[in-house]
Amino acid sequence: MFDTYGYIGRSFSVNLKNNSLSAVISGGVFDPRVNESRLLIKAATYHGLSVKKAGSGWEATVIFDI
Amino acid sequence: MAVEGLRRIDSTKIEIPRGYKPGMRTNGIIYVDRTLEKDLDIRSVEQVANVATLPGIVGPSMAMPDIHAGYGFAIGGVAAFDLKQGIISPGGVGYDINCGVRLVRSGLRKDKAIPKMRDIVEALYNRIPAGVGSKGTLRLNAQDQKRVLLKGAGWAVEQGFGSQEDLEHTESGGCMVGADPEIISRKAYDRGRAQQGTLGSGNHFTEVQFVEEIFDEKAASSLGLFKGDITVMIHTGSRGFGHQVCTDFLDVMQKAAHKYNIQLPDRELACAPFNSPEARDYIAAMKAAANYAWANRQCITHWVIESFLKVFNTDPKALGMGLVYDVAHNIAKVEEHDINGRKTKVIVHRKGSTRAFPPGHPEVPDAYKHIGQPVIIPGDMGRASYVLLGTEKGMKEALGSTCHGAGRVMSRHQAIKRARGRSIRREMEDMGVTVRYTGRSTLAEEMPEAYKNVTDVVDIVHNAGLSKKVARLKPLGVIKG
Repeated sequence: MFDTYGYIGRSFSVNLKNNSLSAVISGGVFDPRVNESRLLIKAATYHGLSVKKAGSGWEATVIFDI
Repeated sequence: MAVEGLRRIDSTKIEIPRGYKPGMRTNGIIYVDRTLEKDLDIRSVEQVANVATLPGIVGPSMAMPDIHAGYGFAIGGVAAFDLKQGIISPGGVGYDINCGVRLVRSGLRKDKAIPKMRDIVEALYNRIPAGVGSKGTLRLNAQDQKRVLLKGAGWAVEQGFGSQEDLEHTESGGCMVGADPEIISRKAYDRGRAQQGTLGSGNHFTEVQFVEEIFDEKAASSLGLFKGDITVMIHTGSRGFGHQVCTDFLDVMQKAAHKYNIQLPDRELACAPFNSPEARDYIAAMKAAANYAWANRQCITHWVIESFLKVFNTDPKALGMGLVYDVAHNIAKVEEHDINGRKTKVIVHRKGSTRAFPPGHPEVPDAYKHIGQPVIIPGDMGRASYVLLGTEKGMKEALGSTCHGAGRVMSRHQAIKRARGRSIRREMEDMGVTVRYTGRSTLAEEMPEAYKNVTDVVDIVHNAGLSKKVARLKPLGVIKG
């Protein structure tokens, strides 16, 4: 979304129900006069990727290329 | 602390013996002296060993002295695979396909340029879009996007951004034949549409330098490099487009590895047999991304020259600016090498390493045929960069390959922590380097001490005979994303 449209989210509402996830994201287009340029995730990698059971839930580790 | 289980061969290289890790089909070789060996990260050694387990590897799994841990393949890695029994892996090319570097010479003397360095840097910053998600001034329609992928730097030259001579002084003529625009995902097109002609962020830069030291007068003169002259170095790649191509094909290759029953010690090494349909598709897409990157560096070169013309209010002839050479340092190519005394075609993966062909090689441009292929090695933004030449020994011993840069010693996170409370911009000014940047954290991540000293790295490849030193370049001004 950012690479293509310059879109940056400001508020996020995420709903996780059964096995589906829906989210509403609101924000706007990046403006270098107002927004500070910081970290950009360029890719999600398989490096050190893990998903394991942790208590009553699951814990995932994902390393991003930045 | 040195990694255990390695064997020193001579003062410039160590061996990872075949028994270091189960499944290794060959040994590993890391070009490193005793000093840099102390900084070797065991993760990067493991990665060189992991590559040695892949099917059809020809010769050792190698790494250059700027080695550091990457995803799957170590950065600084070189590995060749047989075309019948071997594989191709997107992880052996990297996310930023055809990330590379080019050097522009000028006839401008440093004492004329230094008083105007602020103006030069400002002009470069205003003309070359830089920074996270930066968007260019070029607006490409669908047809133009495809032409970029098919023609590479040649497309940029057709648009008036450069000359035929620029193409002759670019690795592969700035275009890999066989790119297929139809294989590219919609997402990759979307990410690449507005980023053609942009520098990006991270370790990418445009840097104004001067020739500080010449090691080989004759060769330097053939390259048009003279002590005290101004040069400009451009380091960037295929931007979000290349990243998306890599991401798309890592997925394809995960399935392919399973389909062809290839055991992977690391999922980032996902690969397919070289003669499989999955490999053919990846190669066609990788070439498209490589061509995107060459067009990108060609457009930026044009704006560099425009910036200098504006600041010095003169004509191109008076400035004497021209491309010395452009190298790719994240790429896979089919090349002919001497394997066990026989000329054999192999697929050479270079990830964070540079092709360095010797004098007389057919792929070296006519102008440089007598000296060998120029190799451009960027260092950190405070100390130095180098120009090297390919050698016959490097061709025989390391598939005509050498290092690609200084190599990080600190992670980005460590560097940001180390920079807390300091003004890196002011420190750079004190070192005589004018800096213009968009992201403050980028500057901290890229501070000189985050990298190995490039001189130590270059001395190893020079002493090992993989390539030879021609000139050292000293930074004066830099723009970063």
